[in-house]
Amino acid sequence: PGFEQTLILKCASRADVAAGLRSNLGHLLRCGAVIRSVDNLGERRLPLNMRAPVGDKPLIGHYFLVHFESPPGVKDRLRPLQRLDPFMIRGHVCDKTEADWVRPCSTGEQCKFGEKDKPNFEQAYAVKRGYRHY
Amino acid sequence: CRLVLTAVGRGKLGLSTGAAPAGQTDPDMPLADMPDPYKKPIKKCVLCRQDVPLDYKNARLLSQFVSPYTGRIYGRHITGLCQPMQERVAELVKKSQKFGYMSQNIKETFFLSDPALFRNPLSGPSVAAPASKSSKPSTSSTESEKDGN
Repeated sequence: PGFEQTLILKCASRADVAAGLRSNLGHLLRCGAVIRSVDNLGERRLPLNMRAPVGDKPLIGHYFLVHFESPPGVKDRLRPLQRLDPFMIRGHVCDKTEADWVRPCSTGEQCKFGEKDKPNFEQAYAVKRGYRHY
Repeated sequence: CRLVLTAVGRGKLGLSTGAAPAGQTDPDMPLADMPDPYKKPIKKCVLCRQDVPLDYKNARLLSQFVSPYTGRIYGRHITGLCQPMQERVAELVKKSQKFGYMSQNIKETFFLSDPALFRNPLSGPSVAAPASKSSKPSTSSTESEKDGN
């Protein structure tokens, strides 16, 4: 199945980023992936305080989006390889089945805005109280 | 009770009267194939109406549903989304934060000038615009920003 990985690499110099990209794509290939494309999303200021596995705390990251195909257990195989990688900050993998999510209203159903399922609940489930007439 | 409309009534409403349908000789008799005039239109939220594609990489679109002060996701009573869309937006915001596209504690400062899709409960009286202005949510940002670069 198809996967996509958001690779965030440390920004040092162009050669370092290239070396980091080469090593991380090598990890993917070693896990049996077929890499379809790599998109460069550029350098960005990191939105969170991210801890790199190795080295100092980074403030800027170089974002890449890697589209690849591989057998299903790729995340578990990739984790030990990413653990000690000196170039990477984050490299989470996501499967592309998320794009198949369909809106319920596109199939013709009414959208739910929080209406009660049982509007007459109290009338229907009320218990009669009072004295029994023997 | 169901409202029935005769051919004369159809003419008054501007619908085509035409000849009587096959199997019906009298044009004053009620028509069985009339659509229900009391049927309510399907109410849709902003995202469903405009058919906006949601993606965890589009941090700009997802940040519109997040507080600029605390970075928390607004509830459904504020955003006005339907239940499935609100859950989907929340799921994608969490995913985006995990993957490193969005922050958890703040909203990015360069997203603050994005058009508001709903009235922010923490804003002052300047947001209480006249009804004509506030009832039209501008989705130019959501439609144009497909890729959150």
